[in-house]
Amino acid sequence: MQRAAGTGVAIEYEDVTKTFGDVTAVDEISFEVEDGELLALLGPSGSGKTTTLRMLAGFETPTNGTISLAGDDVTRVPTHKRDTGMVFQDYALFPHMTVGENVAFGLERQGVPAAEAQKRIEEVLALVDLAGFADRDPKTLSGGQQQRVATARAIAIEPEVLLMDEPLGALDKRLRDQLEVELTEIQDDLGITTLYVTHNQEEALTIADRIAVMNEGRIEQIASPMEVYEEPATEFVADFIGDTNFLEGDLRESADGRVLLETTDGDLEVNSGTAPADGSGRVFVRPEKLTAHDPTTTAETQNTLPGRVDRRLFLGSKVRYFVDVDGTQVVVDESNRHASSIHDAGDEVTLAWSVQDTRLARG
Amino acid sequence: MSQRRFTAELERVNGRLSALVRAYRETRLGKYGLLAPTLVSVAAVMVFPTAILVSYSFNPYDSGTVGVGVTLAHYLRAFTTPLYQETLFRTLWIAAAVTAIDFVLGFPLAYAAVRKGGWVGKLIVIATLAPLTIDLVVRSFGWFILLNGSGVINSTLVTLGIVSAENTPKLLFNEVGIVIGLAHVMLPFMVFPIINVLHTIPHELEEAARNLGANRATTFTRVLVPLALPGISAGVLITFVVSLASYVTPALLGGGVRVIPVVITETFTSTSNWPFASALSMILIAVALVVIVGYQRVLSRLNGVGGV
Repeated sequence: MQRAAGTGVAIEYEDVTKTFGDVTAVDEISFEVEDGELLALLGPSGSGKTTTLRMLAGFETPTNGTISLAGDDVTRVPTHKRDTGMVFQDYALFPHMTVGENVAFGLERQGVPAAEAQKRIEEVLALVDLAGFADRDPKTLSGGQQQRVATARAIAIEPEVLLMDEPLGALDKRLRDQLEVELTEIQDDLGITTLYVTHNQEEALTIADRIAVMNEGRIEQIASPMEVYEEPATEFVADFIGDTNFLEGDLRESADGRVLLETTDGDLEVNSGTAPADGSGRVFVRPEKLTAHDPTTTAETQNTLPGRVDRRLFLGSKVRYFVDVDGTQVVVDESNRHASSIHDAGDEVTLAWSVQDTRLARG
Repeated sequence: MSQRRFTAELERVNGRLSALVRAYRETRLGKYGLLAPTLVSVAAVMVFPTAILVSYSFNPYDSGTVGVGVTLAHYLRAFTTPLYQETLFRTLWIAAAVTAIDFVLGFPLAYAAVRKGGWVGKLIVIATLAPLTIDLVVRSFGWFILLNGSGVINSTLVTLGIVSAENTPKLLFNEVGIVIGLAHVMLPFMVFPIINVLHTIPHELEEAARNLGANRATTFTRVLVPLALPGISAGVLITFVVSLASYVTPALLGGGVRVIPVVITETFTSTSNWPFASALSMILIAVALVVIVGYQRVLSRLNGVGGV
């Protein structure tokens, strides 16, 4: 990332709560977004991520707490006086205007002179790869093109922050992958602070500088994509992001201070400083961290479990095994490095992985 | 025959009949034959009587009956007599005022009904529709109670000390009474077309406009109105034309203040000058047609520019 990180706080939520009747959509959340940063709000539907975004746009007023934009408290500022540019899930392009008129709408409101506005419209349309589309009717464009117009319209007004509500949600996977890259490039080039709502974990992992994982109106974890994946703070995060094998057993601390998970097939060492006092929390390991090898070879430094291959999926570049370990199904992803070493269903195997990848997710 | 067999049989007959109708409709005779009942009824209740009125309007008035011959005297009289000029003008501005008032009242109502939804929306729809279930005459008498010199509105104004008892505004048996009564009668005809069109406008479009820096007024004029134009124009046209032609409400609430439909009726019934009454009817129809055609022209031009 080429932006100057840490130059200032662009967005600040402080103890923000939003209730609709009896339902608490957002529950006392606090976080900051730095200048130029792209923060993804990731969570299942009903987790409060869209409400969080809409409060910054001014479409909803927080029940409690304050929201600041570039240091100014905007909690009670009406929508049209806030310096935000929003890209809607269904794009919300004005159907009675051309592409150019859509982009011009915000510039007219800002009182940008016609000649300059014209220049700006051409610039942003070129930026989203739609040069020469100004006179087109948005209804005649493809979904991907409409998405680009919506983005162009939002960035044309040069807002303090860009708000994106599931901007790629209505597109097919191929187009989504392509636009993910393009959007991050544009966002990076402009260095525009962005709040990005998505329920798609891959999308969040790909585009975000940091991810705020939301669940039931609260932020479970806010960290870099790698940290959220490798060191999930809670069981919810571990389960929601990526595939996860949870391992059953009792946690205890050994005499030499290591944290151990007692299973029927022996102790597994857990990558954790201390065992949780109340015993809450679950041990998990990601499928790609596991290897399934012949029971005859052993590795002393690693955690191991014996099992039997139930089912095998050959996926080309990788092989996915469903391994039965004492009645529990464990998923193992191995890269297809040597086709000759692939196991068959029914094979007895030993699952091995490093202690470092044996994580503890707190409840 | 069991219930099940009967239903199956009914469906079979029904299917055959529909197939027959479909096939028949393809023939030339079928195309017009199926339209015939409608054409005959329209001709019987609309075209035929109107044609009679057209012909009467050019006949002289001959001592209480329709005379023989052709004359333009009735049209000349209508256009040159100040009383009729004034009445025509009054009829037009009352219809315009009713339309304007109903738009100002109706748009927010329709907007609230659509955007608030839930019980607020239902309440608005029911409250707007409810008066339609009460006869026009009864509704007009209801307005008597509210509007007359010592009626509910005036006595409230006096009690609140806003006006003195001697200076209560005259709300009944004049233009004010007609406009209030008609605005009430016509409100659903403005509200429902607008409700229909607002349902088709996603709320996000308003949010997008607001997000791009448009205040409520700009969002209304630049986004809502252009997109709601089909519904607004339907509501405005129906309200204006029906107000222009309405008789019962103006007759009851206008007192001595008359509009053209009231004059036409009185001329028909009390003076039996059918030729003159027919000429007045033709003038009212012509005015309505001019308004409708002119309005459509303006709208299609607006649509061309706005690209709706």
